[in-house]
Amino acid sequence: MGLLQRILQNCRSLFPYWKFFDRLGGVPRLDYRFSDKMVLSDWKPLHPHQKLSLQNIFINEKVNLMHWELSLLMRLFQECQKLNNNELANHEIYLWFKNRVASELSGQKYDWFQFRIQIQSYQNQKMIEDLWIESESFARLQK
Amino acid sequence: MNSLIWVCGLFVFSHFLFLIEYFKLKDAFAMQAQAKQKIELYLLFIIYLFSLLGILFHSSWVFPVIFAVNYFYLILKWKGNFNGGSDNMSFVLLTGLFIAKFNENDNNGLFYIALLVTSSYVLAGWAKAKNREWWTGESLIGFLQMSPLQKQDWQKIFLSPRQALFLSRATLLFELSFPLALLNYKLTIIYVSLGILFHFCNFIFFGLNRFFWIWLSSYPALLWFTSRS
Repeated sequence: MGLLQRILQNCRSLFPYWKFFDRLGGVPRLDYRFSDKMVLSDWKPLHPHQKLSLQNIFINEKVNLMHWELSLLMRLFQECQKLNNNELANHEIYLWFKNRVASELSGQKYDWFQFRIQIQSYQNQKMIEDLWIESESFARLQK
Repeated sequence: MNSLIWVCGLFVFSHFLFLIEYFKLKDAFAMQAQAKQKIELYLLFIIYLFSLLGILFHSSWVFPVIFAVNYFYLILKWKGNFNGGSDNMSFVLLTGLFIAKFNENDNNGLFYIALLVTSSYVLAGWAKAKNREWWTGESLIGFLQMSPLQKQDWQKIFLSPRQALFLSRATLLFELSFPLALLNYKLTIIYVSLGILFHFCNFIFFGLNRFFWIWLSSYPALLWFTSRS
């Protein structure tokens, strides 16, 4: 994406926009799993439910990062409707999450990993999950 | 004490906290900037701090402008807003500070901030009021259920339909009636207190600490508005 296009896209933040929590929509959720010597792990959430303490009212970087990543996933969801599989796999947000999961697994032994993105929504007093993307498998990069 | 000094002080305090958060996230930042641009990153942080000090000492209209340009560049690096609403309110406050210093008239800047903060509640309330689920409490239950934070036991009582109905309607009433805060000083005190409680609840349930601080920074303008004369 060109710099000018990015500036124009982000000009919105310069103008007041006050719609918060107005419409109950879907919330994305990213899970990943990995394989180590043919043993496949369970799916693990990239954003497990965070515990909050009162001192986080001052510094709360982990939760803010999580909110930011969830908004990125939502943007990917909106933008990907027009993309084919190849374009999606090269989308900057998709690549960000590929790197993000790889860095999450950096201290872990694995041969390959995979992630999936689901959309959770609350309908008729129930939580519903729809699978939206299941990525290909990414082999561990050799150093 | 001068209301604009309070706005400046609270704004600087809020953004000092945000700067610490950005600093703690520097590795994630560097990763998503797709570069080993540590020097650029530290330069951004230094300008951030330098312009905050300029705003704190309330010296010139130049500092809000430097801060705004630097901050905009920082959020560009984050593929857009890092924290949408609080970034928006930051720019509102910066515009207010700029107006005050550029015209050398604090009142113009404070008037702008008071008007915009009032509109933030009314428009947010209006957007909610258009949805039936906000009137029945269903939306609030849904948002609480989908919150990415661990729920404490005491928080679960708000998932019951009766409590959610009450809280939803109280939120709508608070937001839509916010212009009443501009009528007299006592009402301003009441609405500002409710606003602090409202943003504290948003922090407890959704972890939105930045909203708490940045909206708090705007309240001296509301208090100034009704304390004139």
